Amino acid sequence: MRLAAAALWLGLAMAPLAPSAGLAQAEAKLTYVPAFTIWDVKFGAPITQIPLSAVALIACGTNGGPPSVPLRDFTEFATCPAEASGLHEVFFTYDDEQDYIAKALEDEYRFAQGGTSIYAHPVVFTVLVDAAGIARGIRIVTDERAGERDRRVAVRLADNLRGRYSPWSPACEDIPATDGQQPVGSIFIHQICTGTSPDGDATMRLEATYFRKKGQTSISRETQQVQKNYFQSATRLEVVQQPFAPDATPVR
Amino acid sequence: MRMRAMIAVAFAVLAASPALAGPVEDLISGARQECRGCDLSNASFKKADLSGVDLTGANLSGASFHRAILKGANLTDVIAEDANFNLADLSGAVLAGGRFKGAMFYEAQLSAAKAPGADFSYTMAQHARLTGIDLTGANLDASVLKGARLNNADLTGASLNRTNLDKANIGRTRFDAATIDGAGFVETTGSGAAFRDATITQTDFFGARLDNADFTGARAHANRFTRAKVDLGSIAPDQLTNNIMPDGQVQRSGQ
Repeated sequence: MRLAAAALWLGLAMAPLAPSAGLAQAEAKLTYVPAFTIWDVKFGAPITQIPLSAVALIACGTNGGPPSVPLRDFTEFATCPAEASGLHEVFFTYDDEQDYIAKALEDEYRFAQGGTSIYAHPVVFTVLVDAAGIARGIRIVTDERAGERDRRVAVRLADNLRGRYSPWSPACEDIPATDGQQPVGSIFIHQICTGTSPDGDATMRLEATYFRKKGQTSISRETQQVQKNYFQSATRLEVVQQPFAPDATPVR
Repeated sequence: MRMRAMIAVAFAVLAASPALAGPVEDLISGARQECRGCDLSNASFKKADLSGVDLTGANLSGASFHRAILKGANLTDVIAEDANFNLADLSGAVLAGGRFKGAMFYEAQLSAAKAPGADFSYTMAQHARLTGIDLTGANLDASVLKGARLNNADLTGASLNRTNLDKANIGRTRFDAATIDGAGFVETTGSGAAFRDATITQTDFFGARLDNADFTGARAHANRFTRAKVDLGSIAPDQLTNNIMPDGQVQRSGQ
C-alpha cells in the first residue's frame, strides 16, 4: 500500500516532466473536471459555442437566481427577456451524469467538482447574450438555494475570484451598512471590486456580502427560536465585454 | 463519366438516409420509434426524448438514459443490467419482465409505470418517484429505495430480501403476499399500507410511521418495530413471533 502511494506520489511529482497514459488514467480516477466550464465561454463568439453535451439544463436566467423558462438549446436565447442593458441572460448547469452516478453509489466524495460549482462553492452560472446571439458576458452568483453551511461561506468565494482577476488590478471599496443592515456577530462585509481586463476589452464587478438585512434577526422576537438562515451571504461576479457594463445595483 | 455521377448521387442519397445513421442516432433524432430486440448495450441516450418508443426485448445493458424522457415507452422484456436511468422520466412506461439488475434509477420518475415480474435486484433508486407503479411479482432483492415515493404502488407477491426502503413513503402501497426478509423500513412513513398474507422476517421498522397498516394473514418473525407507530393487532398471535415490539418489549414465541 505504501509502495503504491509512493509510486503515485512519484508519478504526480513527475507529471510536468513526463506525462504518461498511466498517470492520466490515475488522475482521471482522482479528479473530475467538466468538459466545458464557465471560464471557457469566449466573448464575441456565438452562445452556441457551448457544447450541448457539456450541459445538463438550459433555461432563462433570473439575474443570478434560480432558472425560469426551460430552453431546448442555446439557439432559443431570445426567449429570455432582455435586461436593461439589452443582454439576454441564459442559465445553464454543467453535465451532471457523473455526479448522479456517484449519488446512486452513495459515493458523493468521489468527485471533487461536486456539480455546478466554482472553488467548491455551489453557484448559478449565466451567460449574457446580445440580440445577435453573441456571448458578451458571464454572471456567477453563489446559489441561494444551498444549505446553511454553503451559504455561510459563500462570501469567501470572492477571495478566490479576486485572486483570479488580480491581473485586472481590481479596485475595491467597502460599502458601509445601510437600510438597517447589521453585522453577523461582529462581522460585516460589503465590498465591491471593479476592474478592466489588461487588453481593455472587458470589465468586471465583484460584490461580496455578509450581513443581516433589515428584519433578519438571529432569534425570533415572537417565538424566541433561533433563526439559522437569517443572513445575507453571497458573492456575485459579472464580467462583460465593452461597450456593455456590469449591473451596478448593490445588494440591499 | 455518367456512371461515376450516378454512383456519386447514389452515395449521397444513401449517406443522407436515416437508416444508415444507426439505431441509436435514429432513436435519438426521432427518425425511428421502435427498435425491438436491438442490441443497444452501452449506448448513450443521455437527455434524449424517447417518449413512446418500443424497445421490447432490446439489450440495454450498460446504456445511459441519464435525464432521458421515456414517457410511455415500451421496455417489455428488455435486458438493462447496470444501465443508467438516473433522473430519467419513465412515467407510464411498460417495463414488464425486464431485467434491470444493478441499474441506477436515482431520482428517476417511474409513476404509473407497469413493471410486473421485472427484476430490479441490486438497483439504486434513491428518491425515485414510484407512485402508482405496478411491481407485482417483481424482484427487488438488495435494491436501495431510500427516500423513494411509493404511494399507491402495488408490490403484491414481490420479493424484498435485503431491500432498503428507509425513509421511503409507502402510503396505501400493497405488499400483499410479498416476501420481506432482512429489509429496512427505518423511518418509513405512509398510512394505509397493506401487508396482507406477507411473510416479514428480520426486518427493521425502527421509527416507522405506518398508521392504519393492514397485516391480516401476515407472518412476522424476528423483526424490530422499536418506536414504530404501527398496529400489529391484525396478525394472528401464533404468526407474530420473536419481534421487538413498538414499546421495546422483546417478544417470545407466540406472545
